[in-house]
Amino acid sequence: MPVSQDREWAQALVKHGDEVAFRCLYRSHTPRLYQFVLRVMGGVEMDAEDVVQETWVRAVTHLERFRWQSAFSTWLTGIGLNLCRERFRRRQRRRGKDLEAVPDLRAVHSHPGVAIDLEQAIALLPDGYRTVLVLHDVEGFTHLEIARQLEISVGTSKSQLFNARKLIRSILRGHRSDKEGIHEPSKRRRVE
Amino acid sequence: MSHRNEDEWNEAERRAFQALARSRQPGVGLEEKTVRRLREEGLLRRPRANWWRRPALAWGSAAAAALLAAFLAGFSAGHYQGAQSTVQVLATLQQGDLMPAAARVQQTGSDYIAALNALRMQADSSPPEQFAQGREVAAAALYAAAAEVIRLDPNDPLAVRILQGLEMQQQQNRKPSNQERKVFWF
Repeated sequence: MPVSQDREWAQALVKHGDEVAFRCLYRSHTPRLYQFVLRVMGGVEMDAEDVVQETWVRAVTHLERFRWQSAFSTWLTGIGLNLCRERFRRRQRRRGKDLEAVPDLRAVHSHPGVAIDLEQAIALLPDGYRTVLVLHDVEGFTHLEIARQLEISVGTSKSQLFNARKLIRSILRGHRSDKEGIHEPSKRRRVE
Repeated sequence: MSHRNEDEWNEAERRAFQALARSRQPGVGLEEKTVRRLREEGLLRRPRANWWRRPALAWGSAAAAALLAAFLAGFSAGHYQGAQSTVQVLATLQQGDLMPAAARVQQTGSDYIAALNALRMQADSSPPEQFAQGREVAAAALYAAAAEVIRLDPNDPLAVRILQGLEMQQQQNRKPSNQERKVFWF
């Protein structure tokens, strides 16, 4: 969507609370925002929809302060990402789950007949790893940009990406090996 | 496996990442839920369902759409018919008489189609870049007109589909920017 069109709708929204202008903005930007949030939230649709709704509420509340120095979509994505992280922190407090806790791969690999794709593998990552991986490998952010957005060091961003990639490979490799019959079930049972 | 190998995706893995979906429609109720929430927060004003009882506003919007469509269509065809229509629509608006404004909408719509037809006829004999520009202007006029129809009736299904289709095309044509992105936090 051209920036000028976004701006025109945004101005109508700020000045007049124009619902039509909001719907135009919403329909133009929500599919991309939703896919991003859904991926960062690990594929939980209900959580992702809540975050998208909250993102729009926050965006419309603060739209007057937006200076148009970046694309509207980038600004919106930043708000969405911030809300995802707030949810992670709440979840962590509630369940005591570590943002970098590694999933139990034995459970993941215990269903050799079930194929697992990249999207599912990303969803299985710990929240912290997944966030950095999605920002870097899917959205194309640099480590410097990620570091600024997540308020972490560049080194931390790099090491989280390294760990995330290693884990993704481990998840996918386990399934691929099972499906290709590289590890025969009987031998695996003996080893286990 | 070395650290370097573990840290870099191979070609097949890179392709798998590139193939991941970049957009997805949320549940159908989310838009209405969000609009309701924004209304509750006092951030949105409900559009007037009885817009036809405020003819000045309704016809003003229609005339503005026709004005824009006529201007852009005239530009794309390379003649001044659109500009003349613009002047006539403005004159009609100033007179405050609504029926002639409606007639002008119809006529400028016909002018738009005629201009597109002329563009198509000249396509074979024109340089491709000029034709591409003409197409772009025609699409911009269509987009602006659909946006104005939505202002008149937010639930008009045809206008909504035109807007969505054009926006989808725009997104597909968009190339990723190398510029550093800035994010603002609240």
